[in-house]
Amino acid sequence: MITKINLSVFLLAIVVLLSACKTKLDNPKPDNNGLERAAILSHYANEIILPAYNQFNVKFQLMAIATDSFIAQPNASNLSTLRSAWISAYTEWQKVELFDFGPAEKETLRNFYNIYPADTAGIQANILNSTANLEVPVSFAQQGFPALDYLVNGVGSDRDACLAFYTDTNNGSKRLAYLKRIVTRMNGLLGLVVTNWSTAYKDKFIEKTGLDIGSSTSLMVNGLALHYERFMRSGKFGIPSGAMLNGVIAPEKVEAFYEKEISRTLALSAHQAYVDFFNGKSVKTGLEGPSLKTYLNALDAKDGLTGKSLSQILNEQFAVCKSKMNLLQNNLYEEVKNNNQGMKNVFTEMQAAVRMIKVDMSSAMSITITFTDNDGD
Amino acid sequence: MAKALAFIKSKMKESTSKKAKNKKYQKMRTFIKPFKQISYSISLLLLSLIFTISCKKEIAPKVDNTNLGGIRQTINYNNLTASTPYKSLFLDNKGDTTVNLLLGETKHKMFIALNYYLGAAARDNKATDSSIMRNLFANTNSPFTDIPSLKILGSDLNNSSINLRDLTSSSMASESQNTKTYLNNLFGHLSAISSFVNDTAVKGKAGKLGNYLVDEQGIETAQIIQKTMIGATQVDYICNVLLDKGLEADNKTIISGKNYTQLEQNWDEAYGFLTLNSIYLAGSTDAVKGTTESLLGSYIWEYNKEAYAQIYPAFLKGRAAIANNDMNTLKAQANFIRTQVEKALANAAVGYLAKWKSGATDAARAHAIAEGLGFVYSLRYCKLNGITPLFCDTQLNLLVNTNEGFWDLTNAKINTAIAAISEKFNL
Repeated sequence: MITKINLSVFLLAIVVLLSACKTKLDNPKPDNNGLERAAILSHYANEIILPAYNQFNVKFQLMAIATDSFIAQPNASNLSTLRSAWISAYTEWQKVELFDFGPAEKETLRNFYNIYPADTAGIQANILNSTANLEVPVSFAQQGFPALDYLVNGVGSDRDACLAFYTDTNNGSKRLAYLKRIVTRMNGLLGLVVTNWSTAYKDKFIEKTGLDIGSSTSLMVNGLALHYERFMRSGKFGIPSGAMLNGVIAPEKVEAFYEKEISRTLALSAHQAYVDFFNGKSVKTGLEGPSLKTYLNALDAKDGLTGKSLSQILNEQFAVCKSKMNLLQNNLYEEVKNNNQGMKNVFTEMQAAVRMIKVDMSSAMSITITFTDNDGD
Repeated sequence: MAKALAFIKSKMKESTSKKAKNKKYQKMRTFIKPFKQISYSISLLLLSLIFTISCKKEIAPKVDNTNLGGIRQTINYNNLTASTPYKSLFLDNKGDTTVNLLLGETKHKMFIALNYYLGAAARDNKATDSSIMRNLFANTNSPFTDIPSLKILGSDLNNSSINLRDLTSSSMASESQNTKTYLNNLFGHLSAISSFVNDTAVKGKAGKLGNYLVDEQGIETAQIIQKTMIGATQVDYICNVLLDKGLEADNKTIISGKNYTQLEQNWDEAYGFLTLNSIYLAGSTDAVKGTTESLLGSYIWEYNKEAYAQIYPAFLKGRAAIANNDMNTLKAQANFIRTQVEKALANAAVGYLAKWKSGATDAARAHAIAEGLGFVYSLRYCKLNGITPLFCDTQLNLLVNTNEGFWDLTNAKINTAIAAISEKFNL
């Protein structure tokens, strides 16, 4: 009897409690197993983000070495090595570009690494001005992988013409110097980001377990949502296909315009890295750990329409996006011109995923999407 | 502890009587009645402990409900809820409301009307006139006209005999004239660049970037004015005047011909200057604003997600404290509101600087940085955080001290300002 009554009183009191501190109690509490955000953040930092940066750094350094060799001896063999190293580093970059929070957001790494199409007129002007400002926004498309794409693959109609660009008696050395300048700058920025992640920021990232605007989870979800929407959906498919611009196609805006055969590979690499990140797949072991997926599952987040788990629905949608990409040929420039419906199909499916990430996932997690402007002015 | 018990008891009574028709609750009542008082108290003790723990972040301080010499009927703080409309509880002995929001709301609407005109050049692609801006600012020459979409009635404002200019930076004698001169110059500047609304802006040339009108340095002047005024009028007057010295006003005498004391009026003026709604941000979630708020009221929601929902209860409780003449409670509420407003301002400054970084176009970057620069200027009104005009001006100089202004901005400059502001405000 007493137990029963005690229980009743407790139940009633809990009702009172709930009404008294509604907003606080609505938030998920980090005391439940799958909801332990510190474990999720730690897994992301130690098993995915840091190892991914390290792997990218290895590929980047190979490209830097190949650049130095080419500068020392601008010949066909060194050009060919540089081109392969560039492809390999650019592909690996796709696996870290999504970490646009913390150190990479601070340095705006993406702005200096992968804004395309390359501004070739700006690049030519910078070649003649060794002190051109490479920090202002107008210079974003004059550096990074897209600028290297132009400098390594696009400055001549064939290999010999590209070599001639650098062996030119008047401007060859300036062109080589610009190549060096860009790679050095990229290297410096990457160094800042990697050092920051491996020292001060990693602990801060794991410790800031809240859900407020400055918390790691909020920064991460915002960065991921922005990345998928603007740089995967729009950048790689929406803009070239014209799906973003009233159907006006822009094939010249595909990623890797001067080495078009790798454009789909880059997109697939980026997409796979994104899916693996969502699922917490360790870069070291290939095994899944605490992640956005496990967190959504622990929250029991469901898709409103089907009642299926949100993480399952998202993974299914990711799979659909991938299958649509697999229907395309490697050269997305040609696809825009000859099979643009295929490009638009990818865009459409990715748009569905955007909604799930930006709306369903963020609200299930009580994360505010801050990168859109809410005030409407 | 006794108070906490009384609170829970009264809550229980309340919810029980409310739902008396509900069978479950009736059953529960019959359980509770014959129940041994001791067990009951132990449960309650435990509960109140849980309550204290789970509501640790509760902002409203626990206070006595005694009336400390107020001339109004005592208001029990426990009767205040987040859904109590601002006017409903505060009555005089005849049952008439003692709340009068007109003064604050008039100032609020003046700001909305001026802001509307500041946006006219970019919105309607037309040249605008600085003398109209100055008149709207000082309420001279009957400048206000009807703006039906914003529910502004020009004649109400024109005939009000009050203006925004007089209260600008009024808490700081040294800054007051500087800010007025600064705004006056900005009005002239905005008017001058408004003749370029049909041009596209490039470095060194005024015109439009997307929907935004920027000057030859790429600065969206209308935003600078708006954000500066949020600080210089709303934040300074609400936080540093009404909710500071304003709390020392008389609370014993009814003002002749009115229904309120000066203290009551000061508090109401602050509320009306912040919001035109009877319940500020009613029904809002982190993702969706539940009410139409403008200017400062909107940015508090956007940039202080942790506390926006607590602002209204604090205003309500402060108003009750005035009725009870309970100055400690009153000051605690004022301090809370001021703290959270300052936090919103700092978050907004940092947030917009960061939006420059993530902006994908010149237009997006220009809009973000102008909002950011305006908020950085307005940080000087964050007195609880000890921010000085010098600190703000130093940041602004670091950001845009070159001839190219916006066009010369770099990530490094933005990061320096973000770091300095974050450190000052402990963000």
